[in-house]
Amino acid sequence: MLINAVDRLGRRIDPVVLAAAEEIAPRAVQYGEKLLRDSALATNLLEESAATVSRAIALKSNTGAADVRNLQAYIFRAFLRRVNRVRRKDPILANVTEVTPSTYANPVDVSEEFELKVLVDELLTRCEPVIRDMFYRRMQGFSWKEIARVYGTSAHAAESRFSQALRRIRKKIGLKR
Amino acid sequence: MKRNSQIDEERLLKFGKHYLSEAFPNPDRIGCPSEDALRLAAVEPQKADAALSEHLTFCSPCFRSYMDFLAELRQGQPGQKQPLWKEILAWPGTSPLRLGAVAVAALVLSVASYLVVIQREGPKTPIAPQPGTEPGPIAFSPFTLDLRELSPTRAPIVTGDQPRAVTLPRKPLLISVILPIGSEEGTYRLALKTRDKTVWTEPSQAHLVEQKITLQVKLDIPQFPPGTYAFEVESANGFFLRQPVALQGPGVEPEGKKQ
Repeated sequence: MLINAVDRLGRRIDPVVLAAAEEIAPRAVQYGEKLLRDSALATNLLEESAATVSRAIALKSNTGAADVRNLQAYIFRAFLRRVNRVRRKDPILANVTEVTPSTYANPVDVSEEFELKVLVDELLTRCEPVIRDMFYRRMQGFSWKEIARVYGTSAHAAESRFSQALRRIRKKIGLKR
Repeated sequence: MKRNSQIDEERLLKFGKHYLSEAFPNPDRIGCPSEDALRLAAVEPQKADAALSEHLTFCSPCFRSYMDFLAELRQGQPGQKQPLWKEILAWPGTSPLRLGAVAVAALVLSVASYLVVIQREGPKTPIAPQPGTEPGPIAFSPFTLDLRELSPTRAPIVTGDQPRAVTLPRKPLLISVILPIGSEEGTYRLALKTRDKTVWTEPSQAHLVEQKITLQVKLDIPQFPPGTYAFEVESANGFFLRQPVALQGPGVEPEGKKQ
């Protein structure tokens, strides 16, 4: 067992969530270790994420909110956000890159890269599946007209929907347009 | 960190693609959907499971596959070609306006060349088509080649009395070959041979028709010079028949078993 059933703050992890967290633990800890330079810290953050997700699910079942569609993805993305939070507080860790740097066009400095990463992570975590898929299609070079055809809407409506979602998330994480 | 920096969409998309393609290796492919599910999601995202979209957020191999499916979708389905005009428009530096200008220039040049030729050679009277010279579909006459009297052998070596040659009419024939009793349905190879070479060969399927194992084949007889040939029937399991056939010269009326 890589992670404990109770997190560092003494919060219990639901057995279903614990099983899902165990499955992603090797990948998550490896990822976290690369960015935080500390596997124990990465494991702690995964446990905290699992405990938070357990609480969120319990709350959702109490309030009748929608179920979690992909528990592993949900825990992993909660974990990514915690990792980002820790890095944001530590300027040295914020300069660690997780992907081969400057392989995309228009090289940007490392802090900008971190900013982009946070924005992408938040967008993928917070937005609805349609927005996420629009984002994937835009990455592959689809025009708004082509995306609109897939979703049976107008190009303007598709673009506007995506832009609004992006603006909301930028605002939430403190980035100006 | 530059909190107030403006991050344009293009940079976000480029980073996002690179990040999701590289940052989340999943060598054991834990929780990965099938290729078919990914392809379906690319084609009809609204029918796809939303959990799949979430999986792509932390699995680089699946994300790359999904990007490949989207790329295929954008270029048209695999195996399907874009219309020529779309391909030409996709060439770098082409635009509908430029293409239109090129087309007009080509048209003007063609008309000018035509006028020059007409002036030099004078107008040509169109030649009316000669009656009866247009090639039409070949009409195959039915003909039955009954081989029930022959004994199949296990090798293309025929000993003893040779059967009498059957004369084939000199016209395209749809030949129904009746095989000896006890023959099996299936694929046979038919061949027409002179003494030293095969002049025609074709496979054919034998079926039970009115209690007879029969196979059919079209043979354009006039393309072969007159003479005596061997008509051979052979199967993969060693069944072999040879029937001499005579092809007569033009104008000679044969005495075959014309239907």
